[in-house]
Amino acid sequence: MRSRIINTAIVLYFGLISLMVLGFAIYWHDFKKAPVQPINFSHQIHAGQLGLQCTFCHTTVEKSIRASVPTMSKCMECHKAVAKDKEEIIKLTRYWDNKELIPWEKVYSVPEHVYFSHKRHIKAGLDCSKCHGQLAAMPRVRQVTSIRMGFCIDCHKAKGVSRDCYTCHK
Amino acid sequence: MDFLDNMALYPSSEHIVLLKVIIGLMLLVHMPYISILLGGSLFSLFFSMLDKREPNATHLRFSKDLIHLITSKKSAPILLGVLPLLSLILSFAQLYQGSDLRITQYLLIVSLFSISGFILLYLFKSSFEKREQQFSTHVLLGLGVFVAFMVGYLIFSATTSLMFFPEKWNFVYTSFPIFVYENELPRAALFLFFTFAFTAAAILYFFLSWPGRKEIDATYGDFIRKFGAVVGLIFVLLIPIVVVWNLITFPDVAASESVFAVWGVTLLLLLITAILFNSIIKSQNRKLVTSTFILFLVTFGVMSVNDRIAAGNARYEQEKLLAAKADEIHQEILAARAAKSAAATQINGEEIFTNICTACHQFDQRVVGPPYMSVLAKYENDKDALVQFIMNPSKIDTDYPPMPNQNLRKPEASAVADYLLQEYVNRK
Repeated sequence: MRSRIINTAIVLYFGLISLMVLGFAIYWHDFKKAPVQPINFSHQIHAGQLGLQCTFCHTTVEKSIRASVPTMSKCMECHKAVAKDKEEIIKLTRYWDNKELIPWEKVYSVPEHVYFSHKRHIKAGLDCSKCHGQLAAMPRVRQVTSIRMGFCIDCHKAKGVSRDCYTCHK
Repeated sequence: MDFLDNMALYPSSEHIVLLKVIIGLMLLVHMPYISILLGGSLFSLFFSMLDKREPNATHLRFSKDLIHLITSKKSAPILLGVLPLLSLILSFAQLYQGSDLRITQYLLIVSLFSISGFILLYLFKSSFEKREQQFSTHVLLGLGVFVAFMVGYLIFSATTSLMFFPEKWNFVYTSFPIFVYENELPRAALFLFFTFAFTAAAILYFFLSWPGRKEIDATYGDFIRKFGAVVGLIFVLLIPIVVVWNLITFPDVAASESVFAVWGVTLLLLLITAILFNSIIKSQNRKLVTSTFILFLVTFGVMSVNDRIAAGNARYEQEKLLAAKADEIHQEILAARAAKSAAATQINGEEIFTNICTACHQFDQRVVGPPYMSVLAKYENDKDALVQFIMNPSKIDTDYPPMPNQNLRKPEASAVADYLLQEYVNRK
């Protein structure tokens, strides 16, 4: 009898832990997994196989705090003629024809209380892969660095640049 | 450790899979063994000290039996300890080639602590003979064993954890990657709790169920059964808390549906193990003991697989680039071989003429055979006939001796024929 009670308690305990693990799994799946994009753009093809430089599409990264997503006209420069029969290009063309913005899912988000300038980091000679990983090997972009404060401070310490609060919290 | 990087070639994608299998198998062999040594030596020391405090024949007997059990095979430290560690160092060096993770350095440090632990273990065992006279030495040696294995395998679990954090690799400067980030603590606790729970299962198995065991009396057997089952149950129940703690601090880059699913399987295995431990407290059924031990080994294997999946997730892109580089080098090697082969098959007809034919022939005068200018006319539009004659010469003109067969292969004969006919045309 006592053994049965203990066994039941063990099962309930493990059940509770399993529910917690399931909760972690669902949270990761919904908020942390590589987001599905409206068009399955592959950096592996464009940056990897074709060897396009990051700045070919992300034209504002050297001039602005933001590394913007390229305009549709940039995509259509090539895809007006290239791979027109591919499903993803058909989707792109549909957005272009309907003059609709592509609702890209953001992968990297810096909190609002943080000031981060892409321009400053590019001018400092930092390669995009330091924060964004090996994009040339990614069929779908995923977040590979936490971009939490510790990550930033580690790099600032290593490079010997300012760790003053005001540098990033203007 | 650049020399290891320089020795290793880039691994192909198939090679990467093979490396992961080797790593998984080595961990499955090595980690349970180290767990038994760590847990067994600590329990042995604990009962030895308990006996010293309050003399108890059972405690002292158990302390001695434990240390004899874990040191019974002298080859085990080499076969299950050093050799798997060396395999792991070489496999990880290959897998993490070119990365910033100083894995070889960390694992070499683990090896040093591990080897120290083996030496201290055997010294601790021999200290039982003079335990009464030199008790402090006996305790120090026991603690030394524990500390050596603990520090070494804390570094090991920290290194394993570091594999899930590629963003940290550039910034870990210390030789001991301990306590530089929050996931290390739950990983260290997981290792410790697993060690003690597995040691308890091993004690139950080797004392009560293993076919090669010594026969023991019922009272002693009951003591071992209750100790092993209670300790095992306590630590198995602590493991899930640490699993949750581990998942809280787990990096997103290493996570995937597979990782969570395998954690689910691990929890299921631990649940069954906990129920088995609880049953063993009351029951003397040997099958329960054997099942618990085997289930624990399976759980070790499952957790090892999970670590490989997580590390692979964290390094997915780097592994693809490594495999691409390996493919590139492989193609270069194949191209170089093809070029070499093509060069080797190009036959120089003029060279054969100079080395062989000129012994008997010239173009414009008789040497032994007829001058070429007088005999090649009939072959001018029939190269095949000339090739056939070169390969199978026959006597045609009675004024000349028969031409001996020069044993040329058809490509060689063809090359010579091309040269002769070209020279004939040039000289005409």
